[in-house]
Amino acid sequence: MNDTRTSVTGMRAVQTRRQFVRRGLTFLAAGSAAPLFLARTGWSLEQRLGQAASGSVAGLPEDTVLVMIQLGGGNDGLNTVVPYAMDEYYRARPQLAISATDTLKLDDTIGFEPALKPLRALYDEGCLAVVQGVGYPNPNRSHFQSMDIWHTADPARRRVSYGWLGRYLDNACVGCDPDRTGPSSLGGISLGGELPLAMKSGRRRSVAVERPASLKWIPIDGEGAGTFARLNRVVSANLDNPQVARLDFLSRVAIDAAQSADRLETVLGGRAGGKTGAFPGSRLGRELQTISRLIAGGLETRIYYATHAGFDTHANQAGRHRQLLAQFAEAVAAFYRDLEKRGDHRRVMIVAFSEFGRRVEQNASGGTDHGAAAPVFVLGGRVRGGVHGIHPSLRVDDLDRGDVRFHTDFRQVYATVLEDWLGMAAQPVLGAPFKKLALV
Amino acid sequence: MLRYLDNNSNRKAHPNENYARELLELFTLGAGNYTEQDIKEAARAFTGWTFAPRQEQYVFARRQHDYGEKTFLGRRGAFDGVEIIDIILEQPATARFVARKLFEFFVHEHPADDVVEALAALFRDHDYELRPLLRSMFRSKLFFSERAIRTQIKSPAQIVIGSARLLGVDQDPRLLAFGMRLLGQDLFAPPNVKGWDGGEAWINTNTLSMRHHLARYLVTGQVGGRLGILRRLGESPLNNQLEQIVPPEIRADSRQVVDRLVACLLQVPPNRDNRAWLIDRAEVVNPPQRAALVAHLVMSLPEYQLC
Repeated sequence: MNDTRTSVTGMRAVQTRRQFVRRGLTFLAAGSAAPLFLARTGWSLEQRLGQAASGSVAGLPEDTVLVMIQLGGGNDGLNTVVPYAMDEYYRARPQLAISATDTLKLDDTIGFEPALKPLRALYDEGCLAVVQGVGYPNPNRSHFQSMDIWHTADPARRRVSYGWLGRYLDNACVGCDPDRTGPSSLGGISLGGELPLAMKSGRRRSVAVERPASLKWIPIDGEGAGTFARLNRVVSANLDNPQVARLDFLSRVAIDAAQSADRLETVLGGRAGGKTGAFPGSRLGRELQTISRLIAGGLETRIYYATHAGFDTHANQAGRHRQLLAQFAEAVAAFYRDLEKRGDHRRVMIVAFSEFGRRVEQNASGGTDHGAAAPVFVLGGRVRGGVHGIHPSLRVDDLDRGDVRFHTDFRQVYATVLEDWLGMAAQPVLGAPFKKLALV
Repeated sequence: MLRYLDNNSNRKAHPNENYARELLELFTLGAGNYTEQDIKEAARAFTGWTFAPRQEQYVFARRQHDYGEKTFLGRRGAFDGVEIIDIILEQPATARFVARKLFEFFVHEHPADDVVEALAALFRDHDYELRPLLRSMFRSKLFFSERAIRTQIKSPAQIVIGSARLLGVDQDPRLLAFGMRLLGQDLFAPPNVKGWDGGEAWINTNTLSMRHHLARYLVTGQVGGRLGILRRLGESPLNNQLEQIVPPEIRADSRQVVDRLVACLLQVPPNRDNRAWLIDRAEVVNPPQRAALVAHLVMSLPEYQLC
């Protein structure tokens, strides 16, 4: 076999590489059709407003960060935040209920599933808020539809293409040029290799990262950045042609990868980046560790998204759910403590949610079926910890077809995050006013 | 499907709705064409449909079955699972749903309503036989239209297996399957019951980067950089037929190298700009290295992601 192995080009000076990338991008910018993304949408929520936001909130640091943790599959809220004082809970779940003795009591009505022990200290320190009874009208019990609803903030499910975080990012980018190189062109970062609908946007594109080092294209020979830019030079003039539209999409993602690769490499390679304390080895632990490294390294990104899946416990729930909660609690606690060591905990807010809770009554398989309302966790050094809202009633007459009835619309949580944490007017993003919660 | 969706736990005294829900939502009617109550009733009809774990055989557990009367999509009767399926198939929405799914998979996304309607009618007229439906689709002008040709984003299976075939790669299929997993498709293990969304959902900064890494590996047998996740590939040398596709004697001529590889990998004439640029790049390296270099560049073009 002839030797086609050529050495990967050695590291060039960062400056030179940036020049190449910029040069490459001018081709793209010339034919850039950024306004076309916006023009394609039919929903008024997607229109950028002139005075969307200042981007910061008085009294808060300018660069507050939001970390969303998605618990995928429908987390059983009743066995997470346990209403140990409610008889109905024990009647409905003779085998599955968490006993009052085992429950880590937070007050005289509710407590934590014991696996959440690592979060107990955070609760006691006042930086963990438990928001009860969160859901939306006409609960949807399909995983995919309900998750879409949380991602788009649109329970009516009109044809919305963008996510709520995507709309935040677009609105926060008023007047900026998405094709300009530089750190501020990066939108949000999703760990775990997939880009959630929540981050889908028109202009400020977010990136999916599983391992930051993998984003860089490596040539067989020759200079990498300029070649890659040239490969992805697509003339976006005729986007009505379906093939051109596809090529345009592909090349944009490629350029995003290259830009992110550069930026992340710099951040993680710097003095502060790259070093964290110990994190659990679970997938969520690794994702949160990467986020911690990026924050430590000074990445300007304000939105991060992590996922923890497996909560669809239709059968044999007990052991599995406990394990998932333990992984969640360990990873989040490690993350928070790591941020705390560097003083970053006061500019980070973590929000953990699931697409729905589960039914009050256990089923015949030692599990539970899809439900409705459930608690949301909000953590951070500036978060007003404690219990927010009462636990919804579990009396049969008070239930929504056997499911927990919501009293707090999830968009209230979003509105609070948008206005009181990210400094963005909520109504343009959510399409309607929602009463905020006292979380910050 | 019975196992995946817990139907072995679906019993008369405590119905488990998982199977019924996903059957209606994802495989037959599609969301919006039935109510939550319909799901509950259908679940009752499927009670007792289970399997013998060891033999992996379907078993009907009479004692678990709910023989009572059900109301499903407006019809009333002591339905069992088969009758529920019959009722589902009677709904025009089912033919439309399946026809649309097949069309979007094979032809292009978002077909016009009248196209779906025509295919659905044909489908129903032939008692839901797949062959006439597919034949009609594959022979239609739409199948050969500009909207359909080279507008589909290759799935991980398509790009990994396709690339391996085009390059004549000789490698353990399990390694190729591992490659597909890196691209977001763990064969026979979809992330959830809905499967993979496909299309542009295959592509994000992470998966596109992985496609490039994999291309490099299939062309050279090596991975670039020091990525731990790719180590498994890097430690597994492979053979390919680049020598035969671009024999050494023609490598002195960069134009031939480029033309052969573009014909092999893209199956279309390259656009003039790209051709000239690829030739320039080939000229910079010595002839023995040209095939691998150009193959990798072609596979790194956005065009290569489409089929």
